[in-house]
Amino acid sequence: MNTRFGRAFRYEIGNYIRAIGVLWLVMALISPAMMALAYFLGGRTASTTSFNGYSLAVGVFGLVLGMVSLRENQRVLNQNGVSRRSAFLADIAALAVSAVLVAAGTTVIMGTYRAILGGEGRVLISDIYQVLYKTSGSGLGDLARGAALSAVLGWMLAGLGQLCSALYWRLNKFWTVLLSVAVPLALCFGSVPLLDWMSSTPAGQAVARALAACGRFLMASSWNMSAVLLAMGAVFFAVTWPLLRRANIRAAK
Amino acid sequence: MAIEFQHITKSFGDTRALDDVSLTLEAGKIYGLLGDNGAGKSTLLNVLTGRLAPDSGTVTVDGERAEGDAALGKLFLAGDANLYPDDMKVKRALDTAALFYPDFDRKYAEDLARQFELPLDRKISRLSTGYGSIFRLVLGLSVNTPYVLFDEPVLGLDARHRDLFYKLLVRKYAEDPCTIVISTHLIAEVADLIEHTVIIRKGRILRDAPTEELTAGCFQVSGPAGLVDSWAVGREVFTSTVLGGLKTVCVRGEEKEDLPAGLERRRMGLQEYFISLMEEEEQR
Repeated sequence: MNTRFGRAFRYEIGNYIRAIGVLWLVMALISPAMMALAYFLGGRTASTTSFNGYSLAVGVFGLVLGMVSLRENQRVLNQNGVSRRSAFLADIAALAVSAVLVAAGTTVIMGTYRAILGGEGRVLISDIYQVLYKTSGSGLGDLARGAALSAVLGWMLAGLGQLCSALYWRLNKFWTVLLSVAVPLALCFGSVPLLDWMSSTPAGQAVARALAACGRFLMASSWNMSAVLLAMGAVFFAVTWPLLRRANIRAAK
Repeated sequence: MAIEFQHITKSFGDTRALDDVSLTLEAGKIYGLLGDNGAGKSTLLNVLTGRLAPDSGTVTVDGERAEGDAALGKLFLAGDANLYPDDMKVKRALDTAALFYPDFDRKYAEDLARQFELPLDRKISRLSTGYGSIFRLVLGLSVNTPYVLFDEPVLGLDARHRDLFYKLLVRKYAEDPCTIVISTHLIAEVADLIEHTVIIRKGRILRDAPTEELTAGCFQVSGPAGLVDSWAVGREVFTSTVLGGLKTVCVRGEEKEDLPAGLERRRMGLQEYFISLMEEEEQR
């Protein structure tokens, strides 16, 4: 680890570990806060409440970390004599380790609360694994599968974050504005015509059948989902590299 | 052991910042990289350090491609761009330099920071222009890489700190003769330091020679305009200026014969040579 890649990895993990600690703390405090709220309001309103945001937190953490880390790390590591390639590979590795640490930490926190509450409390605590695959899964195997799913989700979204960051880095002002306006508009107004097309045309119905088959494959096992997310993450990072290779490294504005 | 630029071209839109630049920077010399604003000095250094990718051509450091770790680890660019994160403090930047550069002298860096009154617990992004320059100079002087590049090193520095920097640079070079490249507009201040001068204009290398050779190859003659004009006939005059009735011409070549009475000969300094050369190019 005494190569420039190794040093870059140490630098990046050193930066991320503080953010990971803060996230662990927040995730540890959210459940007691929700329990307090549920017990405070419970007598008069809801009898039970649920919190299933653990995997989501890992994913959002990965996305944000991926977005902000790319340019910042390329800048500071270039200033310290590290090539783009080594900085980028170190970032991929550091984001993977961060996703694993965050997923493991949040799974331990969630498992601890689930064990304490024993399913009897007014607060149901779960993550994406329990929501999609096994609502009652509290065994070690289920927690490990849930942690693995959260980790690959976090890493995949970190890859998406890096791709978005690299894309905005390379695009000029016109395309940046166009992309920023077009994507939300397409998401808002494109879904209805798309669903209409999928239900009313033979080609659309074929696409719908393919998507349904894909959904069945993903829902068959959490490992299927994990493998697909892993592949998506790898694709995002692979597409980021050619964008990054010739980007101008300049001071932040 | 050298940095070699081979046929480097780099454009920004319609502007050609570097145009087929080939240049060798040998080990153990102090180079001056001189040029007008927008001449391509910073672009050249940014291409060398992998911040900009050239459109064509190659750069090698001791035979290694400049975009790789092996080459980049031998370089340190103390440039005017702040590439450190917004929330990073000076002290953490020194820690980071120590992590990446095995020969970084942390104790010396802290000693320099004291001499320059640079606050270690201040965020780099909050430093004034002058202290931002000092921060980069401290790193450049302490990092101990074989090649240290200073791009506008004394930007915003007061006279006392500029003088201190030049003295420290000479001392460092005397103790450990690495390759130093200084890109600056303050030519007169660094003229005595520079062993070899590279002059760049509109992305092309105009001159690449030992400083002594450049300035020894020309001289100035001044005196009453009529007298200067009649003396200058048949000589290679590359620039002339008239102030009142007094005319000064810059002449290429070695002049050993005595001048007519009323004329005065003066050896050209590097700054005068540079200005004359730029004026000559402008007239073309």
